[in-house]
Amino acid sequence: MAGYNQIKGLRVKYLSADPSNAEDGQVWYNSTSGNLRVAGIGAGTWVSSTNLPTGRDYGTAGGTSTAGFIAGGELGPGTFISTTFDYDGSGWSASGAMGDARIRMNLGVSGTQTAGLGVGGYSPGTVTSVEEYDGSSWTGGTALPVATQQSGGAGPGTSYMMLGTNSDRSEGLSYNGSAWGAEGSSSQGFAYQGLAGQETAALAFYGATSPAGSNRSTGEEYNGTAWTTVVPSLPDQGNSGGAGGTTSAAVFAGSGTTSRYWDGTTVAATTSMANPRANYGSIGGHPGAFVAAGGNSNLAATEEFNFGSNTFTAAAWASGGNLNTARNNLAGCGTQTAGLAFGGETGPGTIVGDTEEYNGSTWSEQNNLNTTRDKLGGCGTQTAGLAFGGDTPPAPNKTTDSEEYDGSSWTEGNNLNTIRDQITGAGIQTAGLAFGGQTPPNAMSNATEEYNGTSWTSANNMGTARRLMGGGGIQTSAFGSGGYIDGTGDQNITEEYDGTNWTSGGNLINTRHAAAGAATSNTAGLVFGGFPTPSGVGSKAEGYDGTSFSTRPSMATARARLGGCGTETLALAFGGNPPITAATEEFTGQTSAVAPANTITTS
Amino acid sequence: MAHFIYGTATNTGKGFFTAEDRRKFFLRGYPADVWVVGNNVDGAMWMAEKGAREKTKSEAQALIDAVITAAQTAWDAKTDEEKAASEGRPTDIILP
Repeated sequence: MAGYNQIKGLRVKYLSADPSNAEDGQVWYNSTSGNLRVAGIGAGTWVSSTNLPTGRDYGTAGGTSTAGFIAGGELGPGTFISTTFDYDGSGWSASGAMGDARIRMNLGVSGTQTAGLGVGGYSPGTVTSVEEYDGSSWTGGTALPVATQQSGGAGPGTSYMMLGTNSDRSEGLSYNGSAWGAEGSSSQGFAYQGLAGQETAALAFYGATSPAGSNRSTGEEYNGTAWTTVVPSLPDQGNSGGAGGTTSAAVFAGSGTTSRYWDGTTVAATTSMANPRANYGSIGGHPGAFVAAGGNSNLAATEEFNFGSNTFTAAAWASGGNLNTARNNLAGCGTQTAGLAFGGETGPGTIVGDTEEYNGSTWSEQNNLNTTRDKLGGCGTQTAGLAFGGDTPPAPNKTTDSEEYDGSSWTEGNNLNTIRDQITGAGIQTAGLAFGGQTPPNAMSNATEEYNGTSWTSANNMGTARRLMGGGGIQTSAFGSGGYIDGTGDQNITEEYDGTNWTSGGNLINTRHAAAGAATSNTAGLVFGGFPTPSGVGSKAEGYDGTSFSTRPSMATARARLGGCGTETLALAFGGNPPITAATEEFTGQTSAVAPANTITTS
Repeated sequence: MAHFIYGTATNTGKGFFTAEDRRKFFLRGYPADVWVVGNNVDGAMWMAEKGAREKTKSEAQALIDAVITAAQTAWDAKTDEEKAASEGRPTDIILP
């Protein structure tokens, strides 16, 4: 048998105390306690997430832990609902309702957020109805060959597997996106069972006969043709009510707070849910997280099971201190605890040069810009800021003016080469970057300029001229996303700057302009807020990793033409419109930590 | 049972809502100091703690409509040049 030093390449250390920086799986001997200790190692942990707007029983759900949905169910006895809510990893938003209000559709993960399924159920009476969800609305799908309710289901909409019903069917069914087909039979027929995986590789664990009687005693695995018993005697037998994952890593939770983890070989109890639940919505699975939403007794609670031994704290926006001067079309720079806001518009045509500093709690008035303006660009820090371009009163009156802030007052610097407003900035006072915007009278600009602490120098142009982009970074690693092109409208494109050239990057999920950005480079950024208002992007945030954007929690207050600063994990949003606001919000990204060390025992 | 609770409250800044609040319940802010929270214990508790004045959905919508109408009127009064330089007429906001 291989020893620890052969597996990890390390010897077991002899320490008087647990190390503070132990890595997951690291083993050591604690000479003080006399115990052999190990860092982390666990199936996963449950963390609470944002509650459903309203609790519901028997909702059906699907998607991933960052792009899921829940639909239908019951608000109370006999009150069936058709409403749908989408989940973005941290919060819920209303979406299109199902055609039928019904309950007891398939348990388990039913497709994806853009190809979801509502299968069978009770409305009242057991039904064969199937509806398909495209991320915004539901349409009728191919009806089931047999009416079912309380069945287990799992998989994407084109490789979907289901098993069981309240009549305890043992025959499997699959859906390929257009037709239902017969699949192999399980050795036992149950309802309320947890199905995980998909049509070609599924698990059927737990469950009970309906009405509740005997519990499923075995765990079975499906290979696309036949079911095989992989767990002859399931521990903690009872209803599952929901499940998610793959044949190599799955969670089956329900029947109280009980949660069991399957690692591909064995199934065992793992950390319990905070809320007892059954008949809940299942979203996501391994890799990533499994989300349990709602459940019996009209539960509103949402919980995420994060596979692995790390513990997670979800990202979120919180309120910060309000600006002293409510405004939009302002610029910002600095960090979440040392931010700077300058310029802007306090009402139609009322342009100001107000400057305020943020200390992590409150904004304080400072000396104004020398040149009053809005729609300007900004970069730098709270003690070394840079303001450039913009629109001076009486607007429209674009400017090349550039000023430097030293933590107390603004002094004139050398001007931009290209006159423009609605400009985006990145970098610091001695290595700044200005790109895009609008030149007089209304032409889109692709101009790029670099500032060296003394003067602006023209650099290679962007590929697509536009104004009001969101972005940021540093002079040698920046990005600009979205924006507006007159005559064309809102954009979703991204361009990345490497200090010399612009190249195309990943598209925004939500097309928008007049958003704010917070970034440390072109591989670590956050874009938030923006127009158009009707699409609801004003509150939405997206993170950029240099390749693609992914959703982040939404701000509480939707807004565009706002100021932003900070980093992709510690950002600040302030001001904006409509209507013009003084509100500030602070973003804290998701954090994780290795679970506490455990003592190794023999048994 | 309604999905949401509607009310008005003044955003007092830091601590008005916390990251933990955002993780626990649905919360959105709108013009006219209108706040919408999920119709659950945590949402209701937050409204109470903030001294929010509860509104019906239609009352809350009317407050927002008044602000948006004023903004639309102001936009309509702009010159064509000013309109061309803006992103467009403020659009209606419909509460969930």
